[in-house]
Amino acid sequence: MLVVSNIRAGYDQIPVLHGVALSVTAGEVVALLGRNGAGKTTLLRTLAGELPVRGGLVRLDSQDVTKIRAYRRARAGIAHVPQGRGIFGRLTVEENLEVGTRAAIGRRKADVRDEVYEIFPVLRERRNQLAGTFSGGQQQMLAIARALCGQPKVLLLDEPSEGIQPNIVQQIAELVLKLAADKGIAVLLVEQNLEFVLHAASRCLVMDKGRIVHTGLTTEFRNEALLKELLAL
Amino acid sequence: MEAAVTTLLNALTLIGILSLVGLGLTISFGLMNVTNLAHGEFLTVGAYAVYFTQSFGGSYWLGLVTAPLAAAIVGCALEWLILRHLYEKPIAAILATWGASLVIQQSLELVFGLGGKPVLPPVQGALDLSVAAYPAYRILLICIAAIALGLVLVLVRRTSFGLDIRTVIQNRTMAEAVGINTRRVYAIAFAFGAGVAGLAGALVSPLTTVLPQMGVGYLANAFFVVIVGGAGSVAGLIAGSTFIGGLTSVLNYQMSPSLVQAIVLLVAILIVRVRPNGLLSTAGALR
Ligand SMILES: Nc1ncnc2c1ncn2[C@@H]1O[C@H](COP(=O)(O)OP(=O)(O)OP(=O)(O)O)[C@@H](O)[C@H]1O
Ligand SMILES: [Mg+2]
Repeated sequence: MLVVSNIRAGYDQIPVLHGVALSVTAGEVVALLGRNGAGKTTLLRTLAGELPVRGGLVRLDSQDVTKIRAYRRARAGIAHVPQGRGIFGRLTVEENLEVGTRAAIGRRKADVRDEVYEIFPVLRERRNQLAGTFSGGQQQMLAIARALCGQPKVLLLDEPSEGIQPNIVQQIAELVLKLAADKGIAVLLVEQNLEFVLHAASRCLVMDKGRIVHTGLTTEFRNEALLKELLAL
Repeated sequence: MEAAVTTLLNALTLIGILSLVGLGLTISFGLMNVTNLAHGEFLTVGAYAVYFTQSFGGSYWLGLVTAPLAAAIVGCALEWLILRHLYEKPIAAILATWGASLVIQQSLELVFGLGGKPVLPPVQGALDLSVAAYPAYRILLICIAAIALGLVLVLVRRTSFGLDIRTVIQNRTMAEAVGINTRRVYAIAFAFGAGVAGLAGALVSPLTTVLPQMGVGYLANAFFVVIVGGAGSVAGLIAGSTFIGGLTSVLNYQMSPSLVQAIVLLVAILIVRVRPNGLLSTAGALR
């Protein structure tokens, strides 16, 4: 599904990613772990097309998307839920979801908003409310719902549990797992919350200083000693 | 009573024009963070379009359709050639649009020659409103401006393109990430604002003589309107126009135009001191 080979990227003069390779298959949840500043957010932003790729390849199915602009990557099927959620606070819930459907333009005809409301009944109840008035957890739900409206093949999730109450975190973890399984979405998940990772992910990648330094099955990461060593917590 | 009605209608004429000219500015200045000093020239281009149409025997009405198209084309060219490269460089954009404004003025002078051009109104004479008689064309102008503003509001609030504009304005990066072609939205929104200013140019053309520099005065007033009303909001635009247009019309009745300008400027500065974001700012969401 998503195949990334040897990509380099960064900000203006500052290189951050020094050749990252990974792949995520349909229906799989892969967690990306790493210390603060390791380059996880930079990687997701690069995959979403927000930052230019300086070398290497990004492929979605058989399509090379390395050089195309962010909006076309979104339409190709890469959805990005950024760190901080990036909801449109001055649009209503309904409007947020409507702009979410723009990513399906040219690829899918059906409007899945009703289906998405089934998954998030709270959003239906508050469809006319301005999204900016939502709590962090609700905003995170909305951001994921908006991504689903574009019927993505790949979902890039950046710290979905950040600043959210523990019981909601649990819900979101289950949701991510279910979405991958039911809809065959390939999920690349950046997450600091280990409970979340252990619950949702089947594989883990550890990143340090812009490189993937370790990969393994999630079960392996239940070993605390190893975790401590890898993440230097 | 008669004076009151006349002043009211004068105010409505001015408010209509200022709102239409200000729309493009509130889009570019309030939403894209570009100070477009060539915005007045869109109005000029619209006025010349009506003159040009009439010089070929075309009607005023044909001119009224041609004007926004001509201004939108000029707007499109300006965006594509200059502005899109300068969205991240606001100071350079000011200089570049100032240059563009001079180039447009000179080009109009080269093509159409020196001196003012006359435009004939579609209707002549005055309309008897029982309490007062008022030029029929000005009443028509007020109606057209009101309809145009109504359509703009519907476009921004109710259509899917309006939603795209509001989305891009709030967060360009995220709008792109959900699949909106933000460059295209910027270009169309900019050309749209230019076109509406062109419409304003067509509307004022029968009331003045058409000159290459005629847009300059409107530019300054339109900036007042946008700043006083709150940049980036259609409601603020109308509030700002009502305020500036209303005050100007009331004062014009009592004193000389240059004194009026000075007073309006002073009051505008006072308002912005008290409410730095304008009367009805929506802080980055076209509404
Ligand atoms: N906008 C930016 N401009 C320049 N450098 C940046 C920018 N954003 C991040 N960086 C730098 O890039 C490096 C990687 O940052 P990044 O945000 O990708 O890390 P991260 O792994 O997501 O960290 P965190 O866990 O804190 O979210 C850091 O050294 C950071 O200082
Ligand atoms: Mg991060």
